[in-house]
Amino acid sequence: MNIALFGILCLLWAGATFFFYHYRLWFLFYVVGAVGSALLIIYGGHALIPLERWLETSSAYSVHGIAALFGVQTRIFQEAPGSILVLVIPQGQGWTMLEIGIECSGLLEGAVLFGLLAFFPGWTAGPRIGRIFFGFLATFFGNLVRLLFIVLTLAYLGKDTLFLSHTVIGRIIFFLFVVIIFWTLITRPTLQQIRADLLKDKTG
Amino acid sequence: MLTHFVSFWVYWGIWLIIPFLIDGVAALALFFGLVYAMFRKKAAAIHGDQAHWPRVSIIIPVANGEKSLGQCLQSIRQQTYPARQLEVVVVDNASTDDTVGVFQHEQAKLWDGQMHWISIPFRGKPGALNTGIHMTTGHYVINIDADVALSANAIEAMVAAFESDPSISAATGGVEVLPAAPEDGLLPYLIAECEFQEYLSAFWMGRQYQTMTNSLFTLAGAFSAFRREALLHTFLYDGTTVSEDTKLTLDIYKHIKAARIVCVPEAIVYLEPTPSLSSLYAQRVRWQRGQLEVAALNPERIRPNFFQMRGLSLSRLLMIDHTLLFPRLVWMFLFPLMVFFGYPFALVFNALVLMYIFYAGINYFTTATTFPIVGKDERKRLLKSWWIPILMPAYRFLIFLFRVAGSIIPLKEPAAWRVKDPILETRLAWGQLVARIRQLWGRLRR
Repeated sequence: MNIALFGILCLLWAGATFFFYHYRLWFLFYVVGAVGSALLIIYGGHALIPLERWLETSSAYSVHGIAALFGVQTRIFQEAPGSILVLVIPQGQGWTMLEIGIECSGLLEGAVLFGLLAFFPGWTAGPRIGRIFFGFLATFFGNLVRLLFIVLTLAYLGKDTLFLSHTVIGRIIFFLFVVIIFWTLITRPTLQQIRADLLKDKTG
Repeated sequence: MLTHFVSFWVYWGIWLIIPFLIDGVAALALFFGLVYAMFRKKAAAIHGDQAHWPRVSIIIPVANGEKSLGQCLQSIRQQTYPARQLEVVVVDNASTDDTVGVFQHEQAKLWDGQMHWISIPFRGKPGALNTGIHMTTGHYVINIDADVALSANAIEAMVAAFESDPSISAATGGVEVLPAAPEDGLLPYLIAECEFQEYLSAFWMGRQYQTMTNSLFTLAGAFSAFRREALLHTFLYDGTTVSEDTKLTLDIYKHIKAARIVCVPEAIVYLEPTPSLSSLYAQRVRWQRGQLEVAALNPERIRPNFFQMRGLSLSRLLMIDHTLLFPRLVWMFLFPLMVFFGYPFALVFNALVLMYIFYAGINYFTTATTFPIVGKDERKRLLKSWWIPILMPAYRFLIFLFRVAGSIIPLKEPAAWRVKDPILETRLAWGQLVARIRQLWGRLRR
């Protein structure tokens, strides 16, 4: 997709979102706004600007630094910072290369979170920006914990644990972070706002 | 072989593990509910002289119910419970049709029970129900909607449950959706059958699990029963939220320390199916709004008991019914589009098919497991519509979207009983936009 086509899609999406906003069609406004923005960010960050690369690099370097504190040696390729070499100790299996791709970079989750928070109805700009900022940090941190868990498991327990640590436990760890993040940033404020509205209606 | 298997799961598991985990656990909870329903101590039949059976008050709030009230009252007259011990109060809130005529027609028929009419000049179900509660004297208070019909043994089964267990404060009956009329067409038929299976698993499994763990969240407005003294411990129904039934359920937990609220699925109330997707949308948006409003008014129930297995945990409920809605919403739309980001089409397609099969499997599982314990008629209907579980994931997906709408709308719009569906709203808005553009164009030309 070239930039012109991307621009046209952005305009169409913005027009549709504004239409739904203007006519107070909140459900469609939210779905189109959140899904569309997530999609555009993922595409833009993947193909147009080096956002994915930046996230992969920072995740890789962060894991590299923190893993060292746990005594696990890792190496990063300068030319491909998304790839981490992990030293696998126990069975003398040597190095294993882990590649941090679009899924492990946190780009997808970050974009989803941005869409859901940026278009959530009923918030003023200040709290919205604060929540997006906190959400990004928390998502990045959650992703880091997941990656670190995979790296440490791989290093100390060997390659055979890759399925369990990557697909099952790593996924569950990140999922727990997602639940906490969405509870804190969406469910709790929603309940607070609804409560305030109900009490205001009751007391006039 | 092993390497192939592992690499397959490393790839596929990424996408499937979380939905499998959450919905698989939910299905397991349903299964436990069913096992409980199968092995729980059934309420013994009421013995002794019928003259000494407890007095029961049935309250029916009605507003413009001339089409349905007759059938509702007839079902009460056909109860196996001794009519002399039944007191029916129809509370009319400002009907403008001939509801009173229908009532008079039914009242004039020979029956040993008492039938009263109370007219109140204002609209609103909570006020009508409270009026009925104040005006009646029964040991048990049963509230039913005017557009339902009770099964012949419904009152007897309900009272038997209360009489055999003094710890029960309140109970909900089992709600069963009637088939759509053949002349209504395919879509109403499909909605009715999907609703039928949804309610069947909700009342025979879901509510049974809640009964087992004493975590029942909502007494069905269509048919709920109370021990009078339990009801009087609360401030009765109030209209602060759109879900007065749920609010009262939580008030009972709040005001009665050892309250037990149960589901008695044998006490069946028959309900007309929702006639269209638009009405289904309005209903589910209202339910979701009600759930959030009631949860918002009970913050003390949210935090402390997330991991507590017995008792109502609002945090657990909200996590599934609200928190997880949001990431799921975006992922449902994004997932098929992952082919544009380098994911193989076959992988995405197969994962989607596998997910659909998984959810259809859960529905077949719930249908098959409820089959042995439901009545003969229900079994016949399940057999006739054996293919409906294949459609259930699509139906539940729609319900999921309606829930999302119900989570969003309360933040911007005041409560309303009827909510326009998004398709109609969009058409209206589009019409307005086109009219505005034409007006502007006309001005420019002039």
